[in-house]
Amino acid sequence: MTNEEEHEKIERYFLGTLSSREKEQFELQLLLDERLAKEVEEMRVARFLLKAAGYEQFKHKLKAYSKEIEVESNPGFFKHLFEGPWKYAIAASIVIAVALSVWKITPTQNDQLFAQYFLPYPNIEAPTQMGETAIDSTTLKQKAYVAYDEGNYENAILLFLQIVEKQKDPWVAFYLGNAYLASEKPEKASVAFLNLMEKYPKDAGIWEQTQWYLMLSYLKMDEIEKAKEIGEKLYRNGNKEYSSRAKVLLEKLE
Amino acid sequence: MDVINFIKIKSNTFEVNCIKMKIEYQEQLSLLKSGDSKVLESIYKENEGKFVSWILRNYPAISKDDAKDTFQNAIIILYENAVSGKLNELKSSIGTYLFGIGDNLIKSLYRKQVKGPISVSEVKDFEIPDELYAYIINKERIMMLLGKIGEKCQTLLVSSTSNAMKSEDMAMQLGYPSAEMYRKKKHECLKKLKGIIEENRLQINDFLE
Repeated sequence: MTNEEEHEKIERYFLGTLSSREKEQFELQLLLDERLAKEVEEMRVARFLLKAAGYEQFKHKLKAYSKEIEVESNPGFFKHLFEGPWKYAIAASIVIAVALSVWKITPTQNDQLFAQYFLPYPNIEAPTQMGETAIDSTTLKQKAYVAYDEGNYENAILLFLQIVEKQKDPWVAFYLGNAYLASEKPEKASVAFLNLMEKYPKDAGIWEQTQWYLMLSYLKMDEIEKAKEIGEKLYRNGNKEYSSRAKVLLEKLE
Repeated sequence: MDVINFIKIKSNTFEVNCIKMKIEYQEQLSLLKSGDSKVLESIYKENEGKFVSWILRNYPAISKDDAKDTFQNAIIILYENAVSGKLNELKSSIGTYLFGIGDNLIKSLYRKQVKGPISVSEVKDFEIPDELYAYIINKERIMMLLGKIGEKCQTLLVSSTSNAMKSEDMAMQLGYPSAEMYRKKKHECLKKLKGIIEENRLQINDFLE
């Protein structure tokens, strides 16, 4: 039996998919073969850790629902001010910004501030159909966007990474950064956004969004000076929407 | 006579309503069992506010963030119990079931803040899976260890462990050209992880304390 076949057999043993005869033989072998017994124990620990880590992904999804509740509970107030897929995010950000205006932000509050301002950029690149699953989708790109829409950011990252290796698509790199940020990996997100800024000129139509999320990445990393630097650049040179957004956040970082 | 009839009609209506409600709970549970993410979302959104208020009222020592976190853990347990077949019938609403899990979670995880013994029946009904308990109390350590195998390996292994899909389907979902490639990569990643486990002589109990 090759090493790979052995792994598969151990996995089937844990999943309970060995036939009763196979299981009997395997358990007998376990008693006799010390090396195999050690392998099985290590696999047990590995599966335990992987299952535990799987909750992180589940939690991200639930946190996104919680965030939506916050946004949905304040829908009407600023609705008329903005149009497009951003309207709720902007409304929520401003409502929260006003509520927080009496606060002096300390490093320990950065996380909270980030959580209140950050919403993964909506997928407007490849909208997915209701009920569509990654398996139904045919291309890598479709699968990545379905995973992103489902809040399955870990899978989305893996898929976006594969596309980035093959294609030069600024939006894929941008959504990769967003998926990193949504998975609480701001360091990786900042690298993705910085690469994007290096490769694409300001007029590529993605500059403002990238700056905004880079600012949020630095905020999440507690790199306040860097966040301010990016925010000021965005405030001065960004379009109206992003410039005002940067201004509101900059004031909170003072 | 009229009064008796009236009572009969009323009591029949009450019974019918109870049956209707039970059917609704069962329907919600069946959809949850099938992994319907829309139902999960609606259960979440319907119950978060009520749950958090209930925790804050009953356990003043618990912060709002911890109450929300507890609710999310309760949702995870509800989902796992539904999908694994541990929970097949609901005697009350999903909200009530969630309160039961939440109560148990609070008593187990915040023992120091909320005094009082944990009742055995509660523990039995709403058991916290070991893996979830480990994730709650040792998240940083677990994520740091898995970070060592690299991001691609971590995603591949976590997805394959939490998913009972066939290799062919997993390969498609994760963007591998074939099931064989996916299996090969998975094997390589497992070897890396096992190496770390061996090197650090890790055991499950290390993560439960």
